[in-house]
Amino acid sequence: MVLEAENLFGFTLRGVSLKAHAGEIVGVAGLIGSGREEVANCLFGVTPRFMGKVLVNKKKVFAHPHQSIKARMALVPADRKRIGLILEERLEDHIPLPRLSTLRRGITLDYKRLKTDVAQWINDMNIDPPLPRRKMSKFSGGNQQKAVLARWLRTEPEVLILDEPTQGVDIGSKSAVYQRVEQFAQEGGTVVVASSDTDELIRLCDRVLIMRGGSVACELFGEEITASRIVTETLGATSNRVGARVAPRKVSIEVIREAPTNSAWGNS
Amino acid sequence: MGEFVKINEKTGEVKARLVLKKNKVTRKWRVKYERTDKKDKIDSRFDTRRSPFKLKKLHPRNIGVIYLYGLAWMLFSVWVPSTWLTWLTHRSVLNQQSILIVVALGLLVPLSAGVFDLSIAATVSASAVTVSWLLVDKQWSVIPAIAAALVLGLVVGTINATLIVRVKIDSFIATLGMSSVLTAYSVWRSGNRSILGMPDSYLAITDEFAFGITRTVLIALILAFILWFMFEHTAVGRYFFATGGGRDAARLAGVHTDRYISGAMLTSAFFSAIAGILLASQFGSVQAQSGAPYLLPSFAAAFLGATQFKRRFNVLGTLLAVLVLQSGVKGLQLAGVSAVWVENLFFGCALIISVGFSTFQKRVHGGQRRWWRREESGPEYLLGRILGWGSRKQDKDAATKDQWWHDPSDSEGHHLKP
Repeated sequence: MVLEAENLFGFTLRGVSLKAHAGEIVGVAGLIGSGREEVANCLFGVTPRFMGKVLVNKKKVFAHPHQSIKARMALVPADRKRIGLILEERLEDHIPLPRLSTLRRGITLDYKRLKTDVAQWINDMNIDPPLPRRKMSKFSGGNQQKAVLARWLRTEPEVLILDEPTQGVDIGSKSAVYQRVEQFAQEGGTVVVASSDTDELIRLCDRVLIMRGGSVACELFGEEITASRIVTETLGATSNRVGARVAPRKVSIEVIREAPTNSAWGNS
Repeated sequence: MGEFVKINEKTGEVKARLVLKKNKVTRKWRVKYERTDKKDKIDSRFDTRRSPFKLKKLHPRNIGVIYLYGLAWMLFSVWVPSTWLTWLTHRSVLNQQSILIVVALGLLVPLSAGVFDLSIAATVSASAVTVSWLLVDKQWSVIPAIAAALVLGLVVGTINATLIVRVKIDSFIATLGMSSVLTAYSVWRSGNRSILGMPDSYLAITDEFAFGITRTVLIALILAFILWFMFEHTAVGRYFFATGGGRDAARLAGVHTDRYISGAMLTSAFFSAIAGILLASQFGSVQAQSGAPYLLPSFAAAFLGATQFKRRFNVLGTLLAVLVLQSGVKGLQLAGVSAVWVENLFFGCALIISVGFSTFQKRVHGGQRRWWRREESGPEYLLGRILGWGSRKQDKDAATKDQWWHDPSDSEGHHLKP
């Protein structure tokens, strides 16, 4: 169990608990106001936590981004223009800012290593145009998002939290972001994706948490993750339906990768 | 038809043809001769040719302060050669302005962290009044008095930081209020009169040390070096600039923004306290308003320096801005323009012009394209065309050659840039 959140209370959160394993992509769906917008920020400590705790590898993480980064968490926030990046800074200043201390030599910055590091990440994420001295405001939305992702993958996280990862991103960059996230999960990282885009959740996630009224209302696995199911659950339209599970079910990590034993909902 | 064309007499070819065209400026239809050999010009937005300025670092927008200094030298060398061309003039500029340099350097730190500190001038006065009052009225020895003034600076910085970070008052308001409180303190402490008669050992702090330059200059340069090293070569500098760029974004990237803002307020107050000590030592007499004239010039120097060398606040730009502006004022004074308002006018204009230059941008979607809105009609392109500076993108240019859109047969650079 890499990431555990217990009973989180925030501005809109009313007792959110979630767990995520290594190599797993967990989605969070929900309407606006259901707490889905705040989950990622609250996990990372951007917005205050009034109650509850977040554990990474069974160690408590205090509610400040600095502590989260130390605990090897990373957040790609939804509001890119405001908190995701600084529009006036250059790409070469943007990428190495979190965990800049890894590029220190004595008390000074190792500019040679910084330069090669940035060039490597630009190449790795295929940021276009590959100009490290370009201002962030001049890049397209997709390339900005790639740069933000590069910045956080550079910190070598164990838990990657994505909040609306493809908002205002063109199709080419979208698939690049998906590929990179899937690769990260295959390499053993834990990913939490909070998104309003149902297709995105269906494509990426092994497991989707549906939020309603500030807490997790239900959990969908494997073949249950369909567009209609997600929409009905987010609207809360399934509570009286026969065969619909409202309470989360206990499942081990092995089951998630294989085809689930009972197939689509409504068959039973 | 015959009378409506111009014919080249030697070859007999049609040189120009009469056509009806709309004047782009006045928007009136006119009958004009148009040259037949003229190629259709493609929209300059798609022109991939380089800017005629090959060395962007030498562009006046980048090092305009140095050009301005050269201009001042030329002007005053002709106007008042007997006084301008002496070491005395320039070293007196240095000696007088090193206090301003210390204040402006202190101001750089909060500005780069995105907060304003308007209490610097009042801190200078308060520190100067404190140290001179302790020396003259209380008969303290030099080192404890200096230490007390520095502690005063740190206390002021702590209060500022608390107001901004903990109480969350806007930095502008908080430091403005603090400035007033400090002015009240200085007036009360000095009894609203000049404090004179400091001991010689204290006045000796700012004695000459070499070539007629006082130790104040040396101290200012040492402080400048420390700040330059911090801003350009350490992670701390990066964190300051990140905080200034966007407080929330920097916080998300793991920067302790509150600590850096507090540190910035402490640094500026500490530097102001140092400036106050130097001021008391250099002038030998202190009043409650001694520090007041340093407020605007330090802001002007910091903002003018921010437009130079880098697009952010930097130490070298600030140093040169102080030097150039003060040399200009000094030159005018030597030339007989001895009005008191010259300095204020100079610095006020410098502040407005420099901030105007750094924030003014051409509109991206600027209506229809007219000749005066085009990039190639701008001053540097015009100059470049006259002097023949421009170079087309060559095949040998590695960056261009490998691009998929590059067309080697297109010498005009008219292909569509992606």
